[in-house]
Amino acid sequence: MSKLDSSLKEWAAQGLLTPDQVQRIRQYEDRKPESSWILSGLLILGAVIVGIGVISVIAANWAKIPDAAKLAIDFALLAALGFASLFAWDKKKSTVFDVLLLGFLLMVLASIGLIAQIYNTGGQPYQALMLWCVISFAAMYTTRHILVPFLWSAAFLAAFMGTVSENQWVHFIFEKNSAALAMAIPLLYSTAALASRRWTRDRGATRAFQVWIFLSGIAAILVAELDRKMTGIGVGGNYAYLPGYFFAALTSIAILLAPDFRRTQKTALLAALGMFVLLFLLPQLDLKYSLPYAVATIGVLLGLAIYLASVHERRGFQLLLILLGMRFLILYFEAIGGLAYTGFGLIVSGALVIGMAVVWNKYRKALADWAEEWAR
Amino acid sequence: MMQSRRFLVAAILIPILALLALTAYKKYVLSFGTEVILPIRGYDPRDLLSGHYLLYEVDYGTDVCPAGIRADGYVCLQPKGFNYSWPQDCQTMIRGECDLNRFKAGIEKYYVAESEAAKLEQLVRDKTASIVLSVTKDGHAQVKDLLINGEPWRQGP
Repeated sequence: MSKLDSSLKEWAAQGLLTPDQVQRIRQYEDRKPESSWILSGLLILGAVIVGIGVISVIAANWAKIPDAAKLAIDFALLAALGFASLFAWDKKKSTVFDVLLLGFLLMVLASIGLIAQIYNTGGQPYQALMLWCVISFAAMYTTRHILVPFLWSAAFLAAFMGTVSENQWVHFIFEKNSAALAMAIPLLYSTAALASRRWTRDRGATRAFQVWIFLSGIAAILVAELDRKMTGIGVGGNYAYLPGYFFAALTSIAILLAPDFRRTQKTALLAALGMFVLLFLLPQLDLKYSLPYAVATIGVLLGLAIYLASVHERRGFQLLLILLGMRFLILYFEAIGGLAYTGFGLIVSGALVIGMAVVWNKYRKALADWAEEWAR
Repeated sequence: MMQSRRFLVAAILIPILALLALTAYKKYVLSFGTEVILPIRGYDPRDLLSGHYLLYEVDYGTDVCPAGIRADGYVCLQPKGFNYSWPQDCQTMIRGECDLNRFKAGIEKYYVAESEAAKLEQLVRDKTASIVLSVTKDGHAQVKDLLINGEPWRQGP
């Protein structure tokens, strides 16, 4: 019995749905096209296997194929995948469209490699990735699913990291300051997500950027927090923070100008942004005490949690609550210092962890309800 | 999915046209540039091949990147010389970047098929190797061929 069937049975038994409504819901769900992750995964797996097969056949005879023929085959495959994507879009097959578009974009990347190989260009891999990101930017926006934009964002991050560490015009900016780079990346994604949300609405790209804000944001917080315990990192030229401040300014403007953000949402996001910037300002103020860092980190997580509650993103909200709890625990360990290593300290710590887990498990829904209501 | 079919068509055409333009430009440089032959030596005599690329150092016949800084660099081949700024009165010039004392003009590697890699590595070690370049007036250089003892390496022994 499927999850839906069992839920319908339970709701009907509780008198929440009439038998007629149950029947109508079943009919509606049966008519919906299959779009499960399993189906998408199998289609992608199939496409990858076919792709590897084609590559293997070509690779086995690679040296014997003239360069002009290689290029002709390459562009023919590109055109075929592009046309097939268009065909799937016309037929409203969104999953098939996504698989074909992914194949097309991977073929674009392979084509860059082929051209580099045939003409012996001496570029670096990050340059090839950056070129791919630029020319596939519009294509990334044609999908509503998150997969293609997520991969695009990952490639962009790799190309961006390569550029800032290798390119002679920009490498000096972050050369001595990894913390400033860690600060700039989530803010760059924040700017991209807000711009994307404003102009494209409800696209996979916006969600992909949001995921990268979260991933790179957590990494940045870790870097900032660890920074104070190390020497040498984060104390480079203050100009290294300029890109971060620039993207922070753009993000705050985008938040303020967003027409559909409510006042509470704007306040929560701006507070999180302010605390995030503060986290990277603290080492420059030569503050090495743990409390200001903890307050800033908790402020970031709390601001984001309130925003997620206001948009009913319960999973994200609960994940942030867990992170908040963990940060409070670290603060506790830092506060009691050597006592934590004693038996008594460990007993108290263990009890605290268990207590927090029980409280979280018991009240997480109520807390989410309360936060959603409060942030309304 | 996007509501506009026109946007989708444009989004698919952009990479195809960009790659066609890149190919056409590379072909143009090869076809219309000035042909120059420069000797090469293995960048690291123990490992000339990195993946399927033969890595080497180009002998420009002049001292390059003497200041040991990271900046744009210009090698003048006629007359021989090196500048950190655009050289005047230079007939054939290669534009690149100085990475401290190394000059990089995007011509420091040559693709070779895996089946032929060992043979080529041996040839470059044992004999005199050089590269044939096509150089445009604005200093963009591109590798045309690899010579062993003055002969295209595929026709060599």
